Amino acid sequence: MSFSIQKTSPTLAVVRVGKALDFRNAAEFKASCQEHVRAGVRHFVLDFSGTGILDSTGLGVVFSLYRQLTPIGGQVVFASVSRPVQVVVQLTRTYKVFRQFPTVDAAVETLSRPAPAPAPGRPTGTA
Amino acid sequence: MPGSSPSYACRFRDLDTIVDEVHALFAGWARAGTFAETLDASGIFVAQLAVHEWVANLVQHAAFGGRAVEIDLSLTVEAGGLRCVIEDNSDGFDFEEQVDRQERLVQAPEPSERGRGLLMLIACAEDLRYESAGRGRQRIAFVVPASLPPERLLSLFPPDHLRGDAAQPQPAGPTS
Repeated sequence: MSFSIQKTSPTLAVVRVGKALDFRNAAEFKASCQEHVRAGVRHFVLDFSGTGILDSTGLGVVFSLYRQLTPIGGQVVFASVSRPVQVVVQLTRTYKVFRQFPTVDAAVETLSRPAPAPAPGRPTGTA
Repeated sequence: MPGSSPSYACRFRDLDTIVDEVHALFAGWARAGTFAETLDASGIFVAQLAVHEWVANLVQHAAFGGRAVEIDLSLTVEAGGLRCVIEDNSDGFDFEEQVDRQERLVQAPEPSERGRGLLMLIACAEDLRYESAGRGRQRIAFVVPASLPPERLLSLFPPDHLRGDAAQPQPAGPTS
């Protein structure tokens, strides 16, 4: 295992991916993230600084997390993306899915902002 | 210069350490700019990913029948790219059948997160061949091109999974 997960709020966690997210630690990564989802985390910032390898299995697990969280209003975003990870993101076109931030702080700040208020004149609840 | 293409060869014998050994090699080559005249700035990482996916496949699925493991990696600079050849003494498998299986998996309504390694490798490579090398050995050979044109982008995930909610249409630049 090279990753660590730190909750920065009840609904947001930063995952420091470390040197590798690949077939060797993908199952453990998934289990750890699931544990945090069960505890109420809805937004994950994946810190890829210093990550030398993100392979097809690692990306598959990240994608699986994204598919789980999106329907319940959650997000998975990437931060401090290393060049090897950027190559994978470009090859797989997953930059269309995972928003990228230059730093973890920038990602956390954005995800910590309150959701925008509904537009004036639009219904906000049940009649 | 004819006849002077640089080449690099390594033998690996331990499935428990081969992934780390391969990455240590590539990290050294990346730091030293060993293939900088052959591959563009991302090319060394594409080569690393391709070799990783094949090695991961061997570690997870290859049958060595109790034989001492021998996996040989050789890289040769050639016009237009980096030729990678990986030979091993496993029993081998039906490459096309596995690729078909992975393509079906990708299109499944609830695709597993595993089982895309060969598709990733194919996306990284040109002129890919998997065949018997004789003497009970298997060989995969492919070329990582000097630069990957956009049309080689990989559909590891079905298009409807990539409709995307990310704010920016283009990837951000790498930080290292």
